[in-house]
Amino acid sequence: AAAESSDSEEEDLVSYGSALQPLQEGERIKKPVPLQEQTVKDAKGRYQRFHGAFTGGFSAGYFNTVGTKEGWTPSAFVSSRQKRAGRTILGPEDFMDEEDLSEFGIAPKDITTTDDFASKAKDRIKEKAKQIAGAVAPIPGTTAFDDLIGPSKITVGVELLRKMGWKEGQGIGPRVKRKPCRQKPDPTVKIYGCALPPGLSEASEDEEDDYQPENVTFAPKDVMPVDLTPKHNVHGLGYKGLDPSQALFGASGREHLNLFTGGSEETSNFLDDLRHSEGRKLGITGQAFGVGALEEEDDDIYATDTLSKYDTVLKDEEPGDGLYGWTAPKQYKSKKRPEGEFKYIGKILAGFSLASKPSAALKIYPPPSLPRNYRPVHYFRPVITAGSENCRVQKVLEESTGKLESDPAHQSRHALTAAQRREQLGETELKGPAPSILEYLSEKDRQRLKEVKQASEQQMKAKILSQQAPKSRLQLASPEDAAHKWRKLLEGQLENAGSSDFKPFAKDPEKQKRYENFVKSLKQGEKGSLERFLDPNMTEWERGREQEEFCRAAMFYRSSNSTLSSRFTRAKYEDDVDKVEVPRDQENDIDDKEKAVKMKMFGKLTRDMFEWHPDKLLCKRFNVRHPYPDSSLVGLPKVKRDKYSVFNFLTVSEPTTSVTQATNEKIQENNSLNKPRKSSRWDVSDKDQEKKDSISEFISLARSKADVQQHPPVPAAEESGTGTTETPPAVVTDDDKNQEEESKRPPMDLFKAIFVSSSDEKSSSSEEESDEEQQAAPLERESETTKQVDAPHSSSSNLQGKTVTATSDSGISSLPPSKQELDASEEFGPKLPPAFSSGRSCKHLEATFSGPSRKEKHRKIRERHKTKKERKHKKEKKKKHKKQKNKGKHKNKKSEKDSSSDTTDSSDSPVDTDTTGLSPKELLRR
Amino acid sequence: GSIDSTVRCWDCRSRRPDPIQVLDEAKDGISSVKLSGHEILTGSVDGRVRRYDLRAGQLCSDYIGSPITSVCFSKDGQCVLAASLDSTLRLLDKDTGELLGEYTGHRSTTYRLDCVLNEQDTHVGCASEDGRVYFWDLVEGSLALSLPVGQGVVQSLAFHPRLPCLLVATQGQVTLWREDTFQPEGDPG
Repeated sequence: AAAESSDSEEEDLVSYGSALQPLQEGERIKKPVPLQEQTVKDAKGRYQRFHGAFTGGFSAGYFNTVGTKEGWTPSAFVSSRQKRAGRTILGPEDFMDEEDLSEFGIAPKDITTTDDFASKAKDRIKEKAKQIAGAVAPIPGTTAFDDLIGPSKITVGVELLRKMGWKEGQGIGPRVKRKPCRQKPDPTVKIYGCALPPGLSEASEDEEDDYQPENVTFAPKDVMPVDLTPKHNVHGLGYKGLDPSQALFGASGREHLNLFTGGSEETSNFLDDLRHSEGRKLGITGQAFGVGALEEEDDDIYATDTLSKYDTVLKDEEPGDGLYGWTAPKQYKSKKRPEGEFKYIGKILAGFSLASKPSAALKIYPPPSLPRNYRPVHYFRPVITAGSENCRVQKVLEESTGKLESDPAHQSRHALTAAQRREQLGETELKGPAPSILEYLSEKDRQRLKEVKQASEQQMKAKILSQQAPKSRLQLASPEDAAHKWRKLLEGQLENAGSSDFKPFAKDPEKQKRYENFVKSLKQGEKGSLERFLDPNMTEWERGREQEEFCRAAMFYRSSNSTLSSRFTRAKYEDDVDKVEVPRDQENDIDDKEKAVKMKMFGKLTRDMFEWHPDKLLCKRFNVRHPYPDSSLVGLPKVKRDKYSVFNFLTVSEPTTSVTQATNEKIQENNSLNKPRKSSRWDVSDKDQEKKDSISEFISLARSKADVQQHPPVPAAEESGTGTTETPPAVVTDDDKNQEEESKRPPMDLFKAIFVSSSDEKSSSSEEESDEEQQAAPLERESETTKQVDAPHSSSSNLQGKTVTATSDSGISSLPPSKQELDASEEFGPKLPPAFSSGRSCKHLEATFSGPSRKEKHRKIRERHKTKKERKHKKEKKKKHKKQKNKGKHKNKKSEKDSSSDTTDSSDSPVDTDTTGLSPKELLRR
Repeated sequence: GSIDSTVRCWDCRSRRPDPIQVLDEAKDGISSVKLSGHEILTGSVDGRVRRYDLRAGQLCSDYIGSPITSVCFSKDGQCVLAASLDSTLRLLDKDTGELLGEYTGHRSTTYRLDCVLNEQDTHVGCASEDGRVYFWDLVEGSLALSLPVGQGVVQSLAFHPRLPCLLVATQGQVTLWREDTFQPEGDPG
């Protein structure tokens, strides 16, 4: 069925053109020949000779030999006596090659649409041209004769019209009566621009005969078709290039090829058109011989040259314009014109004609003459607001300027506000937004406000009056006090206040100036000078108020400045770019890192990992395989993002959040640990200490021990009484140290590299972890430890410390395994030190959950907060440990051994179950 | 490593004058560049130690905080030593970036001073602005030796890769230090 359908489909298809030949198996698709390599061939496959005899070459099998072997050899005489009657007249076609007669040849034999049958619409313009030519030709109606002589090709429409009584030259439409007298242009009517030439101002033909019988009607005037040919070229308006038909065909007979001959130009062009169209009928036009299609255009050597082209008489170059085709001024012609005539140089555009009268010259009015004593400088008269105090000054000023007038209304004309003027003029109020808040208030409220205001003013006045005598003192003092107060307030903020860019009183320059001075003085701390900057014309009260205002402004400026600066930051990218190249991963905020560094928690927090693409060559030179063989990228991968994309601001990625979490945790820890946490074994101060009292290593050890005792301050002391103290036993020191060391040095590889012997110490590190999860241990052991602790606890003297350390040293070796276990468990902090977060620890943990650490758990249950103290101890022990380490590597190794022994002991009890419980904590830490 | 905060890699075999790769991740001048077999370690004044791992195609950037003056790999290639202008040397784990050790005692606040690891990775050394060269025990972090070299700043420091042999430059003077038992070859005694 499918085959059938396909067949039917094929039948339905209509195919155009010739199908491509199906490709053979394994045949390659030919590359298309590029344009520059394509060659022109004729029908016979000959290069560059695709012309026949009449198109520049002779080809008829025999190249350029008229189609015969012999070429132009004269044929033998053949008597044509018998054939005389049948003698044929040879046309040009007889001498043509078949190529000339082909479709693209010079005389195509194929049937083509001729002018006669072509659409008439095309000929419209030609018709029109004919008509114009007929009208303008030197002998009017020449073309009419042409029509008579020439073959008539009257369209049906014309024929119909003729039958209806239409005659050529008439318009179409009902006959009209012609108005007897033409209206003279009204002299009163102004004509703007140039006057129209007389010929165009009115219909021309029928103006001559004044006599017109009443009963005679006329056909309407023929309408000159408007030339609506669009302008396709880029020539200047009215420019006509060389007409090739004119140049090649008929130009020889006539004058020079004058392109711009003014009035007669159009007609000649139309005539050319006519001729051209007639010449077309010959069938052979253009350059026949000599120039091949691919050859350079020769000079038209075959064009006939007539004598008339040359000047035969020496004279002024009168006939030509001497411009040789330039669209340029016609000096010669314009010279001859009368002086009064309007001069127009250059060619007049089609459709335009020269004005007969020049347009009226523009009257120029001279500017008003300046008064003799005028000086082009403006003086500002001091503006004085009408006030009780200023009144006199104002008057004096006005007197001086001679402006004083008795009429107050006139006097204050310029001082009036818009509202006042409106009132005077009796205009209605403008409907617009109310100028003040008061407008929005109800009448009653306004009244009330007014009363309040008046009351307060009166009160103020009364005060002033009552304090008249001491006022001068008081009033001076109070602003000073205020200034003092303000100065205190503004102490730190004055640096920025009053800087040039903040102008709170920009509207009132005087006030602004005063304000600036005020701030300056305030900054310098001058007390008395504050008053100076205030307006002396003001009342004391006003002054005080202004001072306060200034202070407030200064304060406000400060705050706004700081708030603004805190909200803006410098642009990262240029404004005019929409998209920016953003590195896909960015080193995230250093704030968290800073914190981490301060806490010496290097590792995850301070590390940023990025994908980075090395250069291929770089890899080659490093002799390393390229990590991303497929990528062409080099460097950090970049992402083109919209500049304002949200993602640009979301650089805080997952690790950072974890960091903050971690840091929070860390901070907590840190708070609880406070100092001891920071002084790690790398601390300098410890070393210094060590050096200072270099009595012995033991002393320092003891001291650190004593520190341990001191640090858990209150709770330890309390618990010492009860007998269940959290303070780790002194004996534990070595194990402690081991423990701490383990926690402090995470990467085992390093140590492995250095100390080959340490193989099983890993386990010890994990014991700390196990502590948290394990069950409570028997309490007796704790009590045991406390007993031991008591000794160092009671006093922190060096001597005591010594003894303690001595015991501890001995204890390491002498203590029973159970005791050691206990010790180990005791000192394992509930938490890993922050630095310990490597992946390795996890593994160890699983292997080494020990029994003895249960006690730890128990303790935790009892008192949560104590664990923190534990941590403190741990740090202390770390210190201790360091000191011990300083003794030498032997010691270190020894301790390791100890720890290893511990771990082996402890790891006897398998605790696989707890590992799962551990993981979240572990995760958190990461 | 350049002050324009780039590290440029040129190909010595070709004669191309332009670098084959520019590592422009640093935000400030590069003070130190070290190479291992497949890594480029850079210390920058922006307080970061960047390690470009060519094999893994990764960039590790460790934030130290203080401007880095000098970086170097340990001999075993596991650690990175970074000296910074807060008078501290830090030994970082190369893989995790964790702090393994911190070494202080010398003075380095202004100058770009070198830091070294000795031939066995047991000690860490650093030049100082007080005319000494300090050596610390790598593991314990304790000051093992402070070697008075001159009066001025010890400008440069280099340790022999295999022998206990230290080359120190200070104030127009280069000194070579060997262990006590060392007998110069040409020396008859």
